[in-house]
Amino acid sequence: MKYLLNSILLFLILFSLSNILSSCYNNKSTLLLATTTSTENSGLLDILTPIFEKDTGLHIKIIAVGSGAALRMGSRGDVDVLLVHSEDAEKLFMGKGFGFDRHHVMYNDFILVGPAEDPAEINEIDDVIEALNKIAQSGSKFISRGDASGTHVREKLLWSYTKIKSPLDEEWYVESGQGMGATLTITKETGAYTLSDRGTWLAMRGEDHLPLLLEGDAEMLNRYHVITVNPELHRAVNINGAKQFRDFLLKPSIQRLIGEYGIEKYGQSLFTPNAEIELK
Amino acid sequence: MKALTFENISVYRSKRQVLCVPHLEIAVGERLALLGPNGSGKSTLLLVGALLLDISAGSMTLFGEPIVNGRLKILQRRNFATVLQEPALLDMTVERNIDTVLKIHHIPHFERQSRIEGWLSRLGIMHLAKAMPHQLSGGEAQRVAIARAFSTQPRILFLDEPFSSLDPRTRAELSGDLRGLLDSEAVTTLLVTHDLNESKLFSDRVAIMNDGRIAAIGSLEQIEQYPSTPAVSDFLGHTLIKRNQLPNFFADNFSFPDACECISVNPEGVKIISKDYGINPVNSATIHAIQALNGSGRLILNFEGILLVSKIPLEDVTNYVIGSLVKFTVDAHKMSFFRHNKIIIS
Amino acid sequence: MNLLLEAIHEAWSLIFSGDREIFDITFRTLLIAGTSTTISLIIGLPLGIGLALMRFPGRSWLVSLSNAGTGMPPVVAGLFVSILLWRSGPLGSLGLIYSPIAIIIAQVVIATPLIIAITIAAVMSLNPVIHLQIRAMGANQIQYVFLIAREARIPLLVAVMAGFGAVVSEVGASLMVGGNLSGETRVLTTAAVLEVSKGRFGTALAYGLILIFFVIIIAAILTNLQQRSQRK
Repeated sequence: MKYLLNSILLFLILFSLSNILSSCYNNKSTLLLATTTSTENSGLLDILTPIFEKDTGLHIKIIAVGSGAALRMGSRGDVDVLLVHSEDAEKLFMGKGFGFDRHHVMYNDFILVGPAEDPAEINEIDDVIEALNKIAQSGSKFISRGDASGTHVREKLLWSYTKIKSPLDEEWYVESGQGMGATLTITKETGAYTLSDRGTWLAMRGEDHLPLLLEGDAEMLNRYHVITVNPELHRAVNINGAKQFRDFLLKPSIQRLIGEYGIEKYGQSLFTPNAEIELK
Repeated sequence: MKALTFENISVYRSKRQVLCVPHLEIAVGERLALLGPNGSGKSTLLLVGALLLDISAGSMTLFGEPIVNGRLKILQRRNFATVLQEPALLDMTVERNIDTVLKIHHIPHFERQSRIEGWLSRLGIMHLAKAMPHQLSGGEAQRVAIARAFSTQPRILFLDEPFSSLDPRTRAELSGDLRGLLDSEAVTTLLVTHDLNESKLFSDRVAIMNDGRIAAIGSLEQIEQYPSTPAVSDFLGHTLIKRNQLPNFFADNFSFPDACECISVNPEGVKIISKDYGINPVNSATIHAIQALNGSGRLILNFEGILLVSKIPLEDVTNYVIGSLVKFTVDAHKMSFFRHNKIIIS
Repeated sequence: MNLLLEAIHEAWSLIFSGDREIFDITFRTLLIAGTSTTISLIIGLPLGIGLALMRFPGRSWLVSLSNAGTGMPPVVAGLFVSILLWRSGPLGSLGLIYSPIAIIIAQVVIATPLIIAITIAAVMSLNPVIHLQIRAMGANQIQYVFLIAREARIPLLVAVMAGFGAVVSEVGASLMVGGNLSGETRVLTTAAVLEVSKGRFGTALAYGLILIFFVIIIAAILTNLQQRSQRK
């Protein structure tokens, strides 16, 4: 009996070891993509990845972190290509020579969401800066992502245009330090306001969803870019794979796919492709 | 060729010397008992001999071969079997306990089987083959330990007070059985015990230890007659009297070497008499205490402030009452004299 | 409350729907945690026995170090392993980051001190005469270790269960070094975190319930072991 148990154990160990080892040594060339959690949460990449892998034969590993972390990893050559939406930080990144090239891919927009009762009365307003001022004035709670993500950076920028230069000092301003989904949950639970990207908000819409209170302000456009990492940063950077991914995203057929994503599920598209626009 | 020799052995523990044996030889087939009070170093010497304790200095030989450190030592250790105060059985059935040690000795399967059966039945515990250690009584467990020891057919057997944790009846049974086995197997044996009688039954030679050294070695009769130091006398149960505290009775009736500093009196030399025949010097003393020890009786007599021990037959113990006066005589041949902690032989 | 009930209902139906992904993730979690625990055992058991029995200068330092290791936050372990395995790190050329092996490495770092500490306690709680007797039986070093391990097998099994429990429910390090890659390094804990961040509580709860199920099994085995050792 003891021998039976021992041999089963041994078999299990060998089986699992071989399984894991084989997955490491698959012969496909690997591409490391760093992107943001909100991008991953939107589900767009789940659609695009299989097509890319089939077309190119590459195996793509997608690491979803905050924009700040993604750019940091890019600067060390720990990843091969970035898909991020943090314009100023990206320009700094390129300025320092960390990126090989940078292109528009698509954009979506941010929206302001909050409690149905709307104590700050921003529903009728179209100007986001005015809305933020009213939120501050009413002392209503505002949840910030506080995680150096693209959303967070944009949010801080918007606050800088308001009368409140640094909302961190205000007691109604709270940082969640987490991704968009978790932040939306906290916002709903505490009856607060927050700045969200449309995609995550759409994906999370349930029974008692947070109503959309403000949209369409030009300042709320959220532009996504694909940046190939400078191969000189590290020997192992897969510049060819990165270029292939960039070309893939900019391809007209894929651009069309991007534009159609979301219509079936949410009734509206989540992203607007804009690769044809020249980068300024 | 000697079974085991010790040369200039010294063992230190936390900077204290706990064992110092300049020279000791154990002959093949000899049975040597190590005696002594607690802390005298007898267990230490046994463990050193069994290669279970490292020495700080000195050398040993085993059947003529020098004992070296390292891997060889483990192989040399397999010449021995050790039975400790506790049975120390492994957490498995009795037969597996013996099987394990035989496997370590690379005994092949069928041979192991027959040895297990053989030794379990010789110790009368065949019925316990599949029992677990916690189901055994103290005596049964120790029988398993003994069976385990013998099954390896050791060239030297080490026993460290193997019966000290048993009750007297089990002790008597088991020690009788063990003696029978030792007689039939004729294996060199080193036994540690604090029981004089046990040592007499088990061994040819006896070594009495004190303070980490061998104070006396020889047959028990020899040592009893000529105890080499006062400490040995004391261990044997003799009465020790300092010269300056000696009652006049002794000084008047016996002659002592001038240089004598200390006297010991063997209890066998203190006899209780009913009638004074006028042959030996007689005096009276009150009975201070009555004891029964190791199969014989002892009367502790209070004589002019000295507690003198007299050996009497066990059956006579009930004849005496504490506090009563008795007449006694002392045999000069049963006294030993010491100077500078060593016996004076005239 | 409504949310909770909804989520539980969704979780149950997901688990019993035979959803392929849930099965894959569960299987992978067990595989990785099982491998890590086994490796931690192979490293930790002899080390623990050695530390318990041998006396050498610096021994107490090593014992303290191992005890401190049990209190180390798993996230910190994950951070250290990440720094080592990133391309920019010293072991980057091995290409192990974001792979199951990276998770195994981090989990071994987490579980080994635990196993060492419990092993030391287990061995030191054995009757000291046993050590002498086993040596007296002529056992060499390897046989000695095996026999001691066998004598202390019940507390050692506790060590195994504790190690497995610690790594199967760990999330911070697994996330950092594994990257939570779908189909490759996504385990129950990291999948649950992802679902929470997406707001999909039903699915997250499904993963959580499966984890609790394993924890209950481990606790049951531990209790059984404790009782068995007490019966003696």
